[in-house]
Amino acid sequence: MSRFDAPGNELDFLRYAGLTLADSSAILSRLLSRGVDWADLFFQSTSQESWLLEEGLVKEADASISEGVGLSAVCGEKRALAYGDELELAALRHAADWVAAVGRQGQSGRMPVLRRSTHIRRYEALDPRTSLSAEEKVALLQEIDRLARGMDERVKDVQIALAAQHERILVVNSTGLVAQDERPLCRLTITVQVEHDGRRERASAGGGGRFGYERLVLAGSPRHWAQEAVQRALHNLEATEAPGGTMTVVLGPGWPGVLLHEAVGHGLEGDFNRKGISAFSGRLGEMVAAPSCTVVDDGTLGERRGSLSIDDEGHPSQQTVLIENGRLCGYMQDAMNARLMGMQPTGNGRRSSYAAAVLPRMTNTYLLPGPHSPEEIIASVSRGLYASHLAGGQVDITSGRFVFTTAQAWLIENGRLTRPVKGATLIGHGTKVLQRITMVGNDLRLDSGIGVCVKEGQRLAVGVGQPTVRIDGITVGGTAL
Amino acid sequence: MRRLEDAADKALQEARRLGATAAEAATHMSTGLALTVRHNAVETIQRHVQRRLALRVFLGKRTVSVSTTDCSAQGVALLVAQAMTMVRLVEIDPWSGLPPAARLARSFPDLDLYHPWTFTMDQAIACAKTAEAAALACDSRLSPSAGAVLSSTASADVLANSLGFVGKRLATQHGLLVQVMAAADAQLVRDSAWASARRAEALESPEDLGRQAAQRTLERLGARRIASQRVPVIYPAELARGLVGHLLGALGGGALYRKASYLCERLGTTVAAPLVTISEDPHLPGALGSAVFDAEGVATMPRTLVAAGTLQGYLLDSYAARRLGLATTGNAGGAHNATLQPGAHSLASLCRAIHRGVLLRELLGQGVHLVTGDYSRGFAGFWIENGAIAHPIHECTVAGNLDGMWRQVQAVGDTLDTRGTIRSPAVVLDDMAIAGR
Repeated sequence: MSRFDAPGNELDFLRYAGLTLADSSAILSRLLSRGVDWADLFFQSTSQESWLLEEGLVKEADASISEGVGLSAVCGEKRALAYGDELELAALRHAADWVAAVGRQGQSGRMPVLRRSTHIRRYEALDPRTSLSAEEKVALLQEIDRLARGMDERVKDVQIALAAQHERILVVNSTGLVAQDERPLCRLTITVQVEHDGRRERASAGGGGRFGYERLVLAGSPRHWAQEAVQRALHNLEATEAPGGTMTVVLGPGWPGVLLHEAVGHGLEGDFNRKGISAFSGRLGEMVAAPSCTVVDDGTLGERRGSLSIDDEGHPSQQTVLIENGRLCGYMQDAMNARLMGMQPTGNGRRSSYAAAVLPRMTNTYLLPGPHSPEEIIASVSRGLYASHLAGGQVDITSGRFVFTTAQAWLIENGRLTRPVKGATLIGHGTKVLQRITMVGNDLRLDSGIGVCVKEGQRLAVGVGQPTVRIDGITVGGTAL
Repeated sequence: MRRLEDAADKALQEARRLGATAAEAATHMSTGLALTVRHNAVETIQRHVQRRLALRVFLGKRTVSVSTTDCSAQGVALLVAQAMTMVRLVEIDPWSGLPPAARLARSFPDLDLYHPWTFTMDQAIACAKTAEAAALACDSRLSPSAGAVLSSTASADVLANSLGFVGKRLATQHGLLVQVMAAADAQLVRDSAWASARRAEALESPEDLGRQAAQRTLERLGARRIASQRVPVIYPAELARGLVGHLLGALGGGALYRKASYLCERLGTTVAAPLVTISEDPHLPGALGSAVFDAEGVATMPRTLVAAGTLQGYLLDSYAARRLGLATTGNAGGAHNATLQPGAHSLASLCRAIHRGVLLRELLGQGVHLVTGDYSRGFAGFWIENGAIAHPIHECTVAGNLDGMWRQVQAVGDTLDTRGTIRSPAVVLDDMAIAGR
């Protein structure tokens, strides 16, 4: 449906905009001649659709197409970005003259010969929207609705969202790199509302990844997610006040890896460290976590939601060890921050669209497994909180303080899960909390493909993961003091 | 504006031609500039030009929404074709449709929302540099975090539907943010000051913002944790806006008809303390939330949402209204200048009235559950002892239930924060659970 939808190589991709690679090269060359250190053109086309079922009816569908180009020029610590939906050469030339304002007078670089990137594909180049017919999508939503409603009579309504996006990008930069990627992404979210004795609750579950819709169904996942959503909602229906105060907390495997994302992930993004505004700035080589903790960011995992074949600057994604056995050993970098810090890019340069500046961002961030069984970890706690599912989190990277909110939690009393407790926000300090991780489980799990991370207003798909962990001392924001 | 009108009109015509029984088109164009200064040097400059066409088509009681950035004739044709394909596949929704024709806006008074900032790039850079320099000059412990960020956007919007409605709107928004950090005794803290307005002259001066940012950052140094306890909590105006936002969220039509709000079926009942009155003032000249018509073209009107604690109205679009058997309130897209009416107390006098309590500065996390009203968030702020600020605090949480929290509003401040579509003074809540050490 879009100008870029025709399959084929990057020349087709450009041709639909009436441009050639030579045009791109000429624009970058013009910038280099005006004294900028580095520049790139980022062409993007994203087509998205979603189908929504509510009250048993597939009564909402929407689709959108977003196409445009961003032109960045970097000179030292200065960066200029012009972006728009006009893909004509004249508009690009105008943008180039504008971003050239950051260039140094009297300097002039030359544009090298263009070369194609070579990288490993981490997912198939496909349009996930076409993997089921519209009729099949509607039928799938109706089937999941019946399934979820049949699970418990307290289920009063079910909302299901099936969404996919097909993104194509082409990057041409002033080192002569030409890189393109085609990125599928789909997601199914099931929200159930339950009611009993006048009390109402709502909970969601779901998943997805960089593949077509048919894969969501093959794995039998819809039934599993419907069950999770129903269980979470019923759990909260019976939940009583959460405790308030500092205590031992055990977090279950998978999605609770939001902990790592907030506690250390953002603080290890290159931009914050270059500017010296992260609690981790200048601490490479120091022990920042318990020796049992090894944390990685890995964009190479096949078909995961947070994975990338190349980042939005054309660099191949990689596995970056951030913390090894408790010691801080790496940052996540985009090209600009890597260059300014004298480091290598790590394939973490991402942008939410052509209309945003590249920032160092996470891909899939997780904690590697340890020796303990999850049962053993829970049994070791005499009084505390166990959370198997979390809602969102947030961090103040300067102070290092971060929060996350429980969405399904129990009290632990004498080594056993007892009563369900309501959602509560937990607050801690990144390195202090990591140093208080006293047990790491052997049950590493990645989340099911639901993560969204927001930084400077830019929303991106990410993954998180962890095994069960025990934290000795974090503040739980309940009302029962 | 002419081009936007034409594009909207073309989309409506094309939709009718392909068999739509009704349609609504919204076209948008914006241009903007944003620049960041750190350490007295330009760090980023961004410029954008963006367009968007959004279309809702109806086929009887079936509807879909589509949008595109390609507003060319070809782009519009593709979009409409896609919409018409999809609309045949969704199921009949008995409540779908355009708003009642009688409720569409007919007069379009100028609300004074369009004031382009006519600066040169050098002036813009100088303004940001001044703000940053004013902050850093305050104390040697300060250094820039985000530095100073200046932004300016101008937008044009057209909304048209097949009932003959055409609404137009030109608006600008300008902003200046200064963010600095300070280090002392192994503690690193960060805070900011910002301004946002439709007219550049209405922004606070860069010097004032810089000094505010410096002061707000310095006063957070030396923060400690406090013990878990129940105490009164002051939400300053900027954070009270968030509390009002949660209340408005629970009054939204979507949450109500889904029964996903703690305020379901509470019209006419007490939802807040008697000193709480919340109005909606859509026609305030030059305000950030002002609008003559809502996102469906329905005329907006000044009204009272909460009168002395009693719930007087919901926030409904035409769909939610039909679902609830009520009339649209002109709130497709949200509330317009929802305002918690100020009281008589300055922030200082609110503090003086508290023996032991907390003044919030920053809230963290999303621990707000509108279905039940349960509320639990992380915060940084200040400990109040005998009516005066004793020391900054951090790494604690504040929890309660929105229903109870609004009923125990004990006092309301005298100064509105008008930097957004929700306007509020400070609010004092009587008894909140603080978890800490």
